[in-house]
Amino acid sequence: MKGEASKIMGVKRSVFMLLFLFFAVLPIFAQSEVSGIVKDEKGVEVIGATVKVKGATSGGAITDYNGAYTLKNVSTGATLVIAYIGMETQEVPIANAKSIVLKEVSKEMTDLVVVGYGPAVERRDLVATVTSAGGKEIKDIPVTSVGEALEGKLAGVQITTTEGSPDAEVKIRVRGGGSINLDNSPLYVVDGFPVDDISDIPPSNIESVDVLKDASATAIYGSRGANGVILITTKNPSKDQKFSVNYNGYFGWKKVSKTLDVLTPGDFARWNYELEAMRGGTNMSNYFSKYFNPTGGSLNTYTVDQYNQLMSQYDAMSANDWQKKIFGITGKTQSHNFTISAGGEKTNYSLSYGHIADKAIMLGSDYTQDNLNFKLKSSPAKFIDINFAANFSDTKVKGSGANDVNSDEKSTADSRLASAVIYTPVLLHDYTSGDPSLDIEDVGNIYPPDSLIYNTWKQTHKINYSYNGSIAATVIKGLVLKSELGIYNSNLETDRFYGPISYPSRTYPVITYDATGVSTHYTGEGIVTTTNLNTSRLRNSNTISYVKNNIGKKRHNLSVLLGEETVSTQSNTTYTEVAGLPSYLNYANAFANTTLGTYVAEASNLFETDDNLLSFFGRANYDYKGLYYLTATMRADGSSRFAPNDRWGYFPSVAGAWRISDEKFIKNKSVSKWLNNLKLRLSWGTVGNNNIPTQQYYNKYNPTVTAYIPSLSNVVWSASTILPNKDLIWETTTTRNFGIDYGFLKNRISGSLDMYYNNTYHLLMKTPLYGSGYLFQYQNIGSTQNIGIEYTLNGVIIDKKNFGLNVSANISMNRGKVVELGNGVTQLAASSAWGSSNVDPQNDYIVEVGKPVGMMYGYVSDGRYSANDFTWNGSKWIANPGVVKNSDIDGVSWGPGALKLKDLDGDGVITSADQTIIGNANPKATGGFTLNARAYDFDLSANFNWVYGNNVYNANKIEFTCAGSSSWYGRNMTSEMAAGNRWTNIDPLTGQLTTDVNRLNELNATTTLWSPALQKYVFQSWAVEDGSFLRLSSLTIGYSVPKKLLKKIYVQQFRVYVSGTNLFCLTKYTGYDPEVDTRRSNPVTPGVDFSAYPKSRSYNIGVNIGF
Amino acid sequence: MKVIIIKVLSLIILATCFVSCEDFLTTRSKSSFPIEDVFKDASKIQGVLFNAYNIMAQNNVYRNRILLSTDWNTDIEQYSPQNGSTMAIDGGNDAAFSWYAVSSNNARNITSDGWNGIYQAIEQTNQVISGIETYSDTTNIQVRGLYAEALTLRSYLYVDLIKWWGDVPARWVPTENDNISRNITLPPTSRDDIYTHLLSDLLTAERYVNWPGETDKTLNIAGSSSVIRVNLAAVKAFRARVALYAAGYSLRPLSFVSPQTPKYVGSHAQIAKGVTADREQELYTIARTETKSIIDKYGNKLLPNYVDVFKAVTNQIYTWGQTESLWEQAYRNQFFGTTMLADGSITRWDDKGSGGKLFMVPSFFYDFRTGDKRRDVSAVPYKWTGTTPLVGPPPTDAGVTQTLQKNMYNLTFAKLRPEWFSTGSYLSSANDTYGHLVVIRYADVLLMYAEACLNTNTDQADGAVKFNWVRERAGIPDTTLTMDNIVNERAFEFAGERIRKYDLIRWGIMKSKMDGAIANVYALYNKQAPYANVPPSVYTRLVVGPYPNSQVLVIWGLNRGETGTPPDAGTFTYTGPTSMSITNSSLANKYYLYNVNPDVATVNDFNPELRALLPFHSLVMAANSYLVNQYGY
Repeated sequence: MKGEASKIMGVKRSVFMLLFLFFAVLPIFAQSEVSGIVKDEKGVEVIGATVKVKGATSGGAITDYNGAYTLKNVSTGATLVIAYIGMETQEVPIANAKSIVLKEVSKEMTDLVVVGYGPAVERRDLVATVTSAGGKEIKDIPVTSVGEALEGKLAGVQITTTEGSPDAEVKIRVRGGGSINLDNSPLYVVDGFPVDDISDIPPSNIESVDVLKDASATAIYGSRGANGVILITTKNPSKDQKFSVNYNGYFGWKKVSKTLDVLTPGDFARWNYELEAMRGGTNMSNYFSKYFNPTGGSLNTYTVDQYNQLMSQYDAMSANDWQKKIFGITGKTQSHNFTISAGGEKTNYSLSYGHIADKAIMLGSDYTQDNLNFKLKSSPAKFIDINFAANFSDTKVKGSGANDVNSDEKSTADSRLASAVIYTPVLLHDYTSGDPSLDIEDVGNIYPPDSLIYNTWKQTHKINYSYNGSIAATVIKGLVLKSELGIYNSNLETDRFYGPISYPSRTYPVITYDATGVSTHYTGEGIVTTTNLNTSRLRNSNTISYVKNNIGKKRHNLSVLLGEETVSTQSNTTYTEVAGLPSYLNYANAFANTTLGTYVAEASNLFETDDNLLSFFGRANYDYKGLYYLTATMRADGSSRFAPNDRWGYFPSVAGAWRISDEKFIKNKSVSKWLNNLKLRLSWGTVGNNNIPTQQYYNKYNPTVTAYIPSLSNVVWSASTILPNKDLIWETTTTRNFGIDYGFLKNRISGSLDMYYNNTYHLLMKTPLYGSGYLFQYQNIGSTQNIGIEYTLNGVIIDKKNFGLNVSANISMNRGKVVELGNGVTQLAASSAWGSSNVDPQNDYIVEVGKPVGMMYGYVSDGRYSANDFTWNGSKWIANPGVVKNSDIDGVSWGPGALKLKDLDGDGVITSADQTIIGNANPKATGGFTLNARAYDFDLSANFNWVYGNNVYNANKIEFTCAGSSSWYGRNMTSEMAAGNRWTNIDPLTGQLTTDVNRLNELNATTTLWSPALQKYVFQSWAVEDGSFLRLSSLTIGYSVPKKLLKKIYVQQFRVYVSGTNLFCLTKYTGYDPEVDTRRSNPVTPGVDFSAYPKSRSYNIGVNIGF
Repeated sequence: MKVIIIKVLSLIILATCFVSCEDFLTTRSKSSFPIEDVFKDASKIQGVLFNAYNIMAQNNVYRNRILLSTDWNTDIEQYSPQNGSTMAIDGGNDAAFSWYAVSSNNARNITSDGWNGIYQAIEQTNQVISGIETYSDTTNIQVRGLYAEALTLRSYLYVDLIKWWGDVPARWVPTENDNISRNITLPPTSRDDIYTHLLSDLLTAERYVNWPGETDKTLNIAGSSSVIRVNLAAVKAFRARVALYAAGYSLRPLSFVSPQTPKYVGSHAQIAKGVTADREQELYTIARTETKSIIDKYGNKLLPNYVDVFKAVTNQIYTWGQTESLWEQAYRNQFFGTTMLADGSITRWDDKGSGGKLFMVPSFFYDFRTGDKRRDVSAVPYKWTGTTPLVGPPPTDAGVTQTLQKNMYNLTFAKLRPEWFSTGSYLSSANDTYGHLVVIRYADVLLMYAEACLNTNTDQADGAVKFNWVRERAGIPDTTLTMDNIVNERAFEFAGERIRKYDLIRWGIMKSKMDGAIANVYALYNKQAPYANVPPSVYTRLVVGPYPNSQVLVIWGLNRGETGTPPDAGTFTYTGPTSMSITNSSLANKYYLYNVNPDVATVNDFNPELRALLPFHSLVMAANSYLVNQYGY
């Protein structure tokens, strides 16, 4: 230490000596004052450019609002260096310093692209396929998540905001994804650190997003690089040494963008009357009379007058608009972000704080996030660089969205959207109970949507923090040793409250006894569960890099990187479940008062197996005169998820590029006048995937709590339901990419075209095992492929002093295919399970060799049966000869007007053999385009994204147009099934069912749909809809106060803007929104629209201020 | 400084090269235990074995699903009566099971339920058996007891697999987890070979378990007199049952049908025996000697009152001697209770309304000899109604009343009754009722012994004595030991106890008995012999019942000879012919025991015997290409 201190002293001494010398020699040169004006190519004054004397370590000036600067004491022979962000730095002798014109740099060529481990490279030198978006493209869009802001902006990256809630999962897929039933999420790396999700990064804090797509780029990440790598770089302290304060903030208002019409009260009553009449009028003690008829009376004996009188009562009632009550709230969003950055010669830092509060459109739905980030860069000595970053985020989500509280996609019984749409629009009473004012709440197996929300409550609280530090030392010129250490910790607390009307409380299966044998039970009392998921991760990487440029007549450039990395992840889950809460505890105060619960059902702490990864990697880049490039990478990964003999995977890649536009035969020809850039890229490589749970190779026994065998034990030692597999190996993806980068007309038109062909083999699949003693096993079986094209185009259309217009667009097409499923299997059935066992067919998706994943598998709609297809035999309808039987699916509606399906196998009866592929969730193409315009001090940007050619499985529509299980009554329907559209069997002249074929034909001459008295949710082609859409995802108009005015109040920047998101969405889709994906727990069932949180449209006012 | 920093960095980088890769990459969860550790310790082995019970007790295995609907209909029992014209065959309809109309896509026959659950439980027993053989100290007497228990439990699971699906894959060792010795999918093994294996396993088990309450062979960790753990009497009795099943008829394919044949025309199955006459005699001898050794040990161990058998089960008394059960399957009961409860029974104190799922065939009600105590224990003609929710526990105001059922075919089995709860044992939860599943009880031992004596022509006189012990307990006179009498006696003794169907199958008389029952119902309706003297009118009166503020029925007109008006007729209300009367026309109109609806019938539907087994679910067959439904449906 002593030695070190003296060295520091030595450094200080030398600095002092230098300064002394500087001043000492001053008198030798003539001194003068230099002043001038800096403008850009369009003649606009450049405000805030730095002007320095070349070689000076201090001093310098900054141009004022006129672009003017003045430097004092400049020696006559000096050269000035003028720099401004986004402009090429210029050196000007003071003789020419009066009027300086800065040139804008060509963004496409010099953008830095982060490629992982080691310095960012300029795009012009990039060999791999990387798509990028800068922070500017993200920050102006007032959304709460990065993913949402990127929608439509990145070619080859399909981003789906799965529903409308503020914390909705944003599903990101790079080039389709190779796995079948395991997660295809890309690897997220934030500032070099692998993280599980990116939702806790405030969009305004992002410097850039780079998506690595081909193996040449991803192979350096080896494991999990198979699904692409998304590198996020957060904002770095500004490099100029100014002290600055920035504030960005907005307020927004949002409304649900669409609601569905439902039956009027009169029609609702008529429909329920008809339904019960069809069901024989005997179920639930004559349900209709009991709940709909205040004067009593039996269904079979209604006279036409009684019928009409009763219905007219309902016609006169006004409807409860449940959708308005539940989703009709005007959401309010506010976001504030403060950033302070400052620095000196050796040290730069920035500190930012962000706060987002989102009061969403659904009753009880609330989202807040706080972020604090600190970044420090320091070079205490020339040869050493130290970086440190600390990030903290705190996210609270209240209300569990539109679905059941148990999980994000479980159970139809408690789904709020369904309740909001089809819960009875008028208050029903039990007229036979003796107390006619008694409301009935449980109608048709659904509960009043508002109380349901507060009886099945969920809130989550996630706290993340991470610290990353690195030190790099330059040993000799070009040789850098670097060591990085990162610590990440996250705690996700999920609290659930179940009130008395929730299913878990109604059926709480626990009884306790005291010493005297008196029992207590907890049915119908409040329950609180708390789950804490703790994850901590430690990462260390050490690299040696060597760069040697201009070797041998300055033609050869070489850089080499060698590295080693360890990542270790630990996690554990604690769970407590407390029941028997007193009735005065509710969703708001139960969590803080669980001590009042009388029964602790479980208090457990389960440790996952540590997930460790050890890797060695290397990369070599070579180029010859910037014309020919060659890159090779190699990574070896050892993962603790695999058995000892199979845990190492080796992932090489190689890529080359040829910059044709710099070849002499182009550069010196007239072509070069319009062709500025043309580069061909070719790459090949493999990447791996170990995306399976830990501990898959040996049997383990976990002591587990059970409630099923109280007379034997409360704890059993359970082996997994997943059969271990000793022989699992890495899933491997081989990618091949061919790309062209181009730039024409001074790069005013630029872009790239990429084509790829990816194969994934040794697929890791969660394979169901029937009757083996286990439910599943992870196996390496099968293979898939993805072929695709991506195209981007950026155009600078107008670039004048006071006007500007830029357009950029991208389009991607991916064609996925299952090549092989292994074990001789050619197809796998899968169930989206949105309606549990009420859906027919149960298996509504299929994975088939030769087809992509995401094929919807159901019946083909054939309209409805006509009355002429049946004969009334006095007690029931008998199908005429040759009429295809569908009695099983149609239930009581089997007869005239019943739903008709195509009998594909021709056996005369509808069975599961008549299922076929009726939809494909994969789009034919996706893309987006952006317009950026400016005029004087106004700016405008419009972002569009679009999807073409995919199908959406409209499960809502099925549920909302069907009576459902034969024990359900009193459900409403959407107006698709309004009287006049649906088949009816009730003759309004008699108020009774008619069995006269001619009369039925007459009554239904204008109706088009079948009778909704189905007892099942039938998945048929009618419910498969075109999901193509074009959305104006955001439109922003801003005004920047001219800097001349701001100068007087010491403000650098002041911009106000108004913006709207989701302003329109052009689509033929009839549901809430075509961009939806609600059944995600099984990745093979994409594109189901079931009880998704509706999307909203928002309007915002914001401000950017810089001091 | 530069040198120092570079040295430090180099050291860090060098140090990582010495990290042992294999140590770093070999990780284990702190919350789990490795196999060799688990099998060192009897209490941990027991924890693994308990997971087999746990899996069996889970929702979609024994607690629900298959148990609800597989074990009927028979000539005496029927699941929820249905009008044949509205019955749906498929799509999760529980009734399809009892109507012998299950298709391979029936949602209740789905794979995550019975099939997978039973194999998961078998895997646990295999883990225990092989774990003990590999890692444990087999001289430890607790370990030996657990070994025997695992063998017995596995046998029990295989018997149910065979009962429900016929020939099934036999797994005697844990499923392997590598690519080399894969036994993940296995072809089916003949049920005859499985039975042989089970008989041998059970003989092994007998060496390591005690008579209930004794400790000569093992120290049972959980207390040896509990009949929810395996004991020597249970093993012997169960071994006798296996022998009888093995000796009897079952549904077999006419010829092997290859998996490539997708469809069938006509009948492809027959009811047949799988053993030779000599082997049959051996099997009956096993049954006789096993049951004899139990009877020699305990004598007449029947509880003196028939009703006490079920009161003990209701109150979850499972101590040997206080219950008649030799063996019960422990779980939190759901549908077992539902099928053995009167409709509307109070199963928890804030609600009511379970039960009423399983019904006695009406003619069988009149087949009971007058004075047979078992009739009114077995089935009830009423349901519980009431509107006041109970507040509890214990109830202060039950406000419930018995109401006569609407129709004669609503005679509900009610061998478990909430009103039999002794104070302080109101056991229930929202979905669950009470009572373990009785596997085998002492009366069965006696009747199996008698049957085996008869069929081996050995000790017939002694067999007749034991046979009549059962009759004497029921309060009816002795009779001779004949096969017909055994067939009938087992019906009266075990009605509603999930035994009848498999008796009829093994005797090969299922269709004839069920057709006979249907004919009897028509005879009853038409008041023809043997039901000519059945009273046509029913009278009822309400009296104070067992719960606070409850009322129960006194009924006149359900017993033969109760014709005319009741004594003190003024207090009774005449309820026939619209309620509970045999003259109710719906009785005759709707009476079917198996699928006879031509609208929805398929091949073999008209013969329940030829559809006595469940088809493999289509997903099971898709995953295991060895399996094929060979019975024509």
